[in-house]
Amino acid sequence: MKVFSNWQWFHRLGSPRWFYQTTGRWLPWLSVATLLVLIIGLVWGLAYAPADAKQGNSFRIIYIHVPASFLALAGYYIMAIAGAVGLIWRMKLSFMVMKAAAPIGAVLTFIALFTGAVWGKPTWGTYWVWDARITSMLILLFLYAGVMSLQYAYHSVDAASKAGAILALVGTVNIPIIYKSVDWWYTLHQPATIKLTSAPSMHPDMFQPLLVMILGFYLFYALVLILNTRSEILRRERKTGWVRELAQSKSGFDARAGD
Amino acid sequence: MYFNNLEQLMLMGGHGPYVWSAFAVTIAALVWLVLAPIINHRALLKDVARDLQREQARQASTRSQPDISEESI
Amino acid sequence: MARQMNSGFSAWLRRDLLLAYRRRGEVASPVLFFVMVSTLIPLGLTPESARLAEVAAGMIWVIALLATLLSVDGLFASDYQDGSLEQMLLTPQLLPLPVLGKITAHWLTTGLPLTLVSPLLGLMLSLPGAGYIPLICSLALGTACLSFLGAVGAALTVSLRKGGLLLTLLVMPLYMPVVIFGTATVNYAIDGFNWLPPLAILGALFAAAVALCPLAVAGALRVTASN
Repeated sequence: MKVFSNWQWFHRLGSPRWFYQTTGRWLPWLSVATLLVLIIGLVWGLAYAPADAKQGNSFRIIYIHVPASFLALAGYYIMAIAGAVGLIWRMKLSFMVMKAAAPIGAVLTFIALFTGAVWGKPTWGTYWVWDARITSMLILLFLYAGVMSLQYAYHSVDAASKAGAILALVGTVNIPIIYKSVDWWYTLHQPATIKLTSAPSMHPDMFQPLLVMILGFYLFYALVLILNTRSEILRRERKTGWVRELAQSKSGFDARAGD
Repeated sequence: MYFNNLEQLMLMGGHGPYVWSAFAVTIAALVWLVLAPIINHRALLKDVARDLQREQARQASTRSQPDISEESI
Repeated sequence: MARQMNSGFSAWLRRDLLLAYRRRGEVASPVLFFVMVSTLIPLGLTPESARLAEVAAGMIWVIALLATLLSVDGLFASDYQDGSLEQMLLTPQLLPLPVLGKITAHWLTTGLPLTLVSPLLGLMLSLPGAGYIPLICSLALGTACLSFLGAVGAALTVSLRKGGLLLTLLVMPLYMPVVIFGTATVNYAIDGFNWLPPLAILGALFAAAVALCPLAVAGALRVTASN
């Protein structure tokens, strides 16, 4: 009996209904915290942090570029781990998390690329440079696009989840190889470029807002992942009793308000 | 504040357009990321509720008048 | 036991080679594609041999990649249509072994011919003399990597009606390290450096692909082919 109760949390964790109800309670707190941290980070980074000696004020883009790049990469691993858990323990919820993570990661990768390009214009004089980091980010965007389009291509939810999970795992094995090889390729060609300010050499006044923004992006990621997973749960469980009850109770208010 | 006034904050020593456009696009993308699942969530709930209503109406109509079932379409 | 395991590999290898021999026209098309696209390069870029020599290694590698990508789509497609793929899934042997046999057959019918034709393209694109042997070595190893990685994409998309284009999207990002080290091998040799280190990395990529890709393909086929 004791063993059973120890594993109960794991089974409950696999229940979409339990996830939906629990995260519903977390959402208000999480959204307030996310908003607060992001606003503090933005105002601090944009208005109070000192300008960089070499790059001037354009360096302020770091406050969104670096956190977005961090989470774009971490998001791929989160997606792949969710897929692996789904494959190994046949956990439906895990596949839903995986599907929810893909578009968030893709948008964050896009943000990293876009801010990198805009940052490049005043720094390097062009919007696009085949720099190692930018190239790796572009490949990461392609990897996300692959996982997403594979999942959309299948009509069967089960096949879409499992195929997507396998592709995400293959991508996970490849990401370090891709990053290392792109790095190596870049040093091979050695273009003369200005090195971006790297974190350890940053002044604390510049570095602290960056930490706040990274924390804010992590909170934001958690928030959106939960939101996406919740609507994915509703989509896949729409025939179940609890979703129907939920819809009925919600629409009861809506109908009265509409009338 | 690092800048003397609001105008300097907007200009950012000539880098204003780059910095502000990068932040604007990022914030727009983040807002969209939050709004998309919320809109989706709401639409799904409404959809399920509509299905339920239709089902109940069909059940009610078949129970009272078993001949007229095409009307519900 | 060992014999039984071996037979799963060699039976499918022999079968696919026989099928390829019967459909010789299909097998020739990646090679024709390879040669024809290479003809476009001087037309689109420049006929000057000095400028062609600069880009020759990269171009030959990119075209070889595209040619492999075009052919890898058919790796499991016909087997899926005629039901022999399902038979393969039902065999008592370890699934990665027949998969390994099929991929080997694919390389023997596309990667190897491309490798053998590549010196001709080197001549046409005025590749410097030091680049030929590295080109052949890197293409031989590299196209094998491409076959293995492409097989993963082919397995993931086998039951989709328009899987071909999707397959290229899935596989292309995974191909990038292979292209980087493949072209680097040739360019190192042209520039007079020791070209064995990048070739050795290509070999390491190949070893990893041989070990991991058949497993991924087997897992993917179990999901997609039964669907």
